[in-house]
Amino acid sequence: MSHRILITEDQPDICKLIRMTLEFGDFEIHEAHDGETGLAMARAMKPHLMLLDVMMPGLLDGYQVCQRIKQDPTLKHIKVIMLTARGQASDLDMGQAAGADAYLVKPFSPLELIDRVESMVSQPA
Amino acid sequence: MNDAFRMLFDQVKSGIIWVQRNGIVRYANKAAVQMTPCLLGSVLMDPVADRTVKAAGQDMIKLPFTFEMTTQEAHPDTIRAVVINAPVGNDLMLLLNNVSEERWYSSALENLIGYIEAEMAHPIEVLMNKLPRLNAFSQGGRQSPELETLLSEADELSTKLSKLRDLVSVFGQGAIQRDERIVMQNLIKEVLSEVLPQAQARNITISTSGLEADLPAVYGSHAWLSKALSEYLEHSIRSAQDDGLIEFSIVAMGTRLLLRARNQGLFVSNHERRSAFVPFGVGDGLEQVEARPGIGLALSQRIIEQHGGNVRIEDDFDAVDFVMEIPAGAPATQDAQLSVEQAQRYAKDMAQLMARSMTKRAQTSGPAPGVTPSVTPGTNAPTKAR
Repeated sequence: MSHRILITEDQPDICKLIRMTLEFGDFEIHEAHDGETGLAMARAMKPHLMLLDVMMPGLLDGYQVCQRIKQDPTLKHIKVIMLTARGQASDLDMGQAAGADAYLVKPFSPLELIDRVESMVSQPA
Repeated sequence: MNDAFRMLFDQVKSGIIWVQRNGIVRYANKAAVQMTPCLLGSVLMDPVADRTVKAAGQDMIKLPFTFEMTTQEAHPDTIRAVVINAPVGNDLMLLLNNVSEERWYSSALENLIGYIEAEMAHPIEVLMNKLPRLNAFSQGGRQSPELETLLSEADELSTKLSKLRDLVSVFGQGAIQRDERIVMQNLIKEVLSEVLPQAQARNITISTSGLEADLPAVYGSHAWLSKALSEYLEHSIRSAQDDGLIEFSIVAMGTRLLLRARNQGLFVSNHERRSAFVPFGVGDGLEQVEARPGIGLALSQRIIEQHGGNVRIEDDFDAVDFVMEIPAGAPATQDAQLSVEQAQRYAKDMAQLMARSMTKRAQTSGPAPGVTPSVTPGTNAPTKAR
């Protein structure tokens, strides 16, 4: 079965890079470019995993999207990997507090990304 | 040339010279004569100008044509000249502007900014840190009224100097870090508690709304946004009438946060509206009796602009609103590009990704992506995104 992955990232180049990386695996890939769209798409398509950028323009940043997903009983099974250039302990704590399942700091290794995604989607919800 | 043109050109600050296509001067206004010597009925005396005009007359250059020349002085100024077609007939016009003056003022301003940054920023910081200690020290002993006045004046001066230092700092690009996550409710509460004594001293009431709502976060510099908000609220308080009411509200609208400090029963003239954003009260006139508005709102505006927002004054029928707009979330960057480090990481991992993919595909006897563009039946092709 091909797993649904939702990339929520505002920078087109990073988004493209993630897509190119995940295309080496067996995934159905979807994209959103801001927090509100990401949340709406998550509600509509119920992805198995979300790659969620922290800093995005608009009303919802990555932490807020993650928090809403994890607080929603119908969505909380979605695995969330936060992507961010901010790798300080306080940022990781905020990600954890929002309910993120993993945290990848930019610049991230594409190999690590695909390994992480594959291992997380194969875990039971 | 008719009298209407002559009268019009004599009013213009730029130099204007009307020439025939062979370079003979037909008219020069007062400003032009001050910049370059010229005689009616003769060619231009400046050789550069003469050659350029004659080249234009022979259609050897495309108009408008811009070039630089200098005044005929011991210490010459630079003149920016433009050759254009005359508004009527087949003649040419030469427009002259002294750019040395404008460069002098801009370099003087740059030098002043550099001087404040290099020579004054640190002493101002030191003074600001020492004043409270000096104050505490003086309170330990017998305090004279003179010392108390001196300390109060020094404190006031140091506050003004620190604002000047901040203003200079925010004019430098990159002064503001743009990646701290700021929860606006918390920041507003902190700043309100700082400025509240100023309002209380004049019996001004500040009501708030929207602070309990679930607001989006803002990304930027916490320290600078705190200063911007503080200056903005202080300006609003200074503008309010004694015993007045300031209704402060914050709402998320579209992709922006809108902060509004509404001063009831206040009127702001167009002059005040313009001058509020000009640092040092330039244009207020030397003989003004009221205190200058200071650099508060100018500083606030500069900081907010660097965060992608704006500060403005709006007026309603019976109230004046000091409005601050800040982009919600991270500032949208049009030029956001893949970082060099990220590209390097990708390049480094690419070979391994390919090898890994080929191994996997070999097990299912399918080709690797990037190796062949076709999709073999039986393999799961990635679905294109929306």
